[in-house]
Amino acid sequence: MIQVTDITKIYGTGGATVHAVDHVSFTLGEGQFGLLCGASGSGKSTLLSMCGGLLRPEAGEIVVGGENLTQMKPEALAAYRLKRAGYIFQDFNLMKNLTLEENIALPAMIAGRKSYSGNLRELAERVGITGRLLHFPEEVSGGERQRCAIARALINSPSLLLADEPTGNLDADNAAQIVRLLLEINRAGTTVLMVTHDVGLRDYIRENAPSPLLLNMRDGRIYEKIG
Amino acid sequence: MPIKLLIRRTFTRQPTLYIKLFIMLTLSVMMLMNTLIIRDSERYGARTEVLEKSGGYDYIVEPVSEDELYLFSEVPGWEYLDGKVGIILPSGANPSEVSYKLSQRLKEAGSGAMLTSYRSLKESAEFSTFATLMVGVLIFAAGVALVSIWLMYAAYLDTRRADIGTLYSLGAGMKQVRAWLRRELLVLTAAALVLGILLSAVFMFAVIRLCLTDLAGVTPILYRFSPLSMLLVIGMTLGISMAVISLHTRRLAGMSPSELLADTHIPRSSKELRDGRSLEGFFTSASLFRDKKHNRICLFATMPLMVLGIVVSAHFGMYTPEDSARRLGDVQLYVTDSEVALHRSEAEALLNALDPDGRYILTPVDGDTSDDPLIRRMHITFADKSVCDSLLTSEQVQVYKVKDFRAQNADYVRLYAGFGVFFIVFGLCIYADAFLLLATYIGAFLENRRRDILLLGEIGCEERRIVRLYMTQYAVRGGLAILAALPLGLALTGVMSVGLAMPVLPNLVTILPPVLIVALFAAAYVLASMRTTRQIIAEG
Ligand SMILES: Nc1ncnc2c1ncn2[C@@H]1O[C@H](COP(=O)(O)OP(=O)(O)O)[C@@H](O)[C@H]1O
Ligand SMILES: [Mg+2]
Repeated sequence: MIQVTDITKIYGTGGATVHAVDHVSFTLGEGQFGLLCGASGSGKSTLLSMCGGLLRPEAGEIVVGGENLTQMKPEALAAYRLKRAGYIFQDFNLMKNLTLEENIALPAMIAGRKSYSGNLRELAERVGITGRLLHFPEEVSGGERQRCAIARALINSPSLLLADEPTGNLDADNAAQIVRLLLEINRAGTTVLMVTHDVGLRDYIRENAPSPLLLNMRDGRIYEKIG
Repeated sequence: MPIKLLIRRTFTRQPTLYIKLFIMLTLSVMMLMNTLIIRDSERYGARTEVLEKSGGYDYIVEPVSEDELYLFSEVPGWEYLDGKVGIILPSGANPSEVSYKLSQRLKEAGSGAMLTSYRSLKESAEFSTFATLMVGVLIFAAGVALVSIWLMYAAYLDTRRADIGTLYSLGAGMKQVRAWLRRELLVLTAAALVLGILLSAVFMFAVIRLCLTDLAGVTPILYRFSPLSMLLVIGMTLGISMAVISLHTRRLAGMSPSELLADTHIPRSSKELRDGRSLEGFFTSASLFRDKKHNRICLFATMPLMVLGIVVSAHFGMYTPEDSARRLGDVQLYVTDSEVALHRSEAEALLNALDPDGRYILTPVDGDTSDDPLIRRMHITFADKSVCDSLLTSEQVQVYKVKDFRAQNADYVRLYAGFGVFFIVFGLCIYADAFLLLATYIGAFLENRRRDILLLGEIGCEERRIVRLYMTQYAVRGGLAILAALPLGLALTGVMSVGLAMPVLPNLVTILPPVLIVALFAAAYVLASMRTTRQIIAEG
């Protein structure tokens, strides 16, 4: 599904440069649940953004489903983000002026799809925010916001779901619910790559996912692959 | 792309975002439209006046009796009009040759008819210096509009950065985001055009009708709203909006979604930290030394307009006529025959006979210098209005041609007031732009500091103290920007005064506007920082 070969990302210029991701390679198979673990600042978000087509690496290649992200033109990369990869952020990144329903529908509308309301209702039920659809993000809890963001990431039925510490801003109960939801989505066939630095979550997922892959990061490098 | 949805939701949920841009656009439209209306009105008035006087003829010769008509046999395009002759020169004719020959013939034949040329009047109506001045003002207004809309839009995009980043990250393409931004600005521009043109038409109508029309002999201005000018304003405003959009979105296109969503972190030095430093002092100096880009924006929004305000006010102050009521004792006295001049001592003797106390000011007019004791025309201001009246009726003065200047002076005051109102409103548009921009930038900057402000509260800083911290910072920043502008403004005023060889008079027009401008900028700094900080604390 994802084949990452020797990618590097450097922030800053001149003397104050940071090698956020330093010659990283790994492969995540179709239907696998990938876990990207490591301390804060180890480069997890940077690596995930590059897999999601949100950021371009300085060097190396990322191939997803046979297509090379690093060689895509901006418009093709946008289409990749729109249809192939769903992305979930730690701080949700919902549009605060749109209702939850409109936020979920947004990628479908960007894609110019004509009918998505059936799909939307089904997703809302699956993530459990049916009663909250007409509210604005600031009127609902963090857990509900994140569930809305998950539904939004899934509306265009991507084959890959990327989640950057999706439970980082949530309490334990909500975090557990979100993780169960992600596992369910993975079991239904979607490849998932999730970033976390929570050891408890990591172990829970490794026990419950059908085919987990654990990637441990430190200082921009993957020093351990288990799975 | 759900463009309509995004626009509708922004309008209902964050109307201030749009309202600020809308006000900016409307003020820009008004500056352009007002300028064009006053220019069109002046040209229309001048043409109407020439047409009324000349009846459409290039020359009028009068009085002419029917048996003198043979004198015109060689003149092209003439017509007899009951006691006078009107001439419209055909395009091939040489005007100076025709008028010269005709004058010669009339003189030779001993005719008492006089030739009046309206041709040059018509030409000067076509190429008036006032119209040229207004074209300059129009270009200036377009520049101000471009800069202010540009900066306002940059501030707007800054607050929408996260939304744009989200749309990108969800897979919207550059073209789609651009289409959304373009539609948004187009809608706002269209609305601003409607309101701005309407307000300008009403406002200029009022100014011209109340102050400028009926000033025949002083200025020929008749209200005129030209659809062509309106189209020009629409074109200019749309052009400015579209230029602003395309240049800004080009900058956005080079950024990745991650960059747009991230707060960029820049490493800072810590050299400002010293022992025993107060929180206020530390906060202010840290911000002044670190937020250099913000300093530049504040300075840029303050300094040029402060300097402009000082120089323009001084310039207007130079020309301010005195109040008509105070000049009721003014007359001009002409010596009838320009071959004969009055000796200064004779003039003084004449005036002393009228007012033995000598309460008058005598100023020679028309090139008479103080070393030339001969006066052909003089301007006299009396302290006592009744002395002036007795001068006008006294037998001694009847040999001289006396012109009562009083009514005309009142007209000049009205003319001055009319243009004054136009320029004051023009200036108000510019300064309202600046106020709005500055307040928006300060608001946006503090909005980016939201976390710091809330953190101060969390670690136990009182609300009033937090507000004071940020107000102090902006009072110092604003104070420095204003202080930097003062010497430059005064120096340029000095240069102008020397260049024009006119003294800068310390009157109301010179002093009041700069004082008001300083107050306006100071208010923008203090109020915007206070309001935004309070609001952020209230929102928690
Ligand atoms: N936009 C940026 N500019 C400069 N440095 C950055 C930027 N984003 C991240 N970094 C740096 O890159 C490193 C990796 O960051 P990140 O990928 O966010 O780590 P993680 O998600 O594992 O906490 C960190 O040292 C961070 O400070
Ligand atoms: Mg991270």
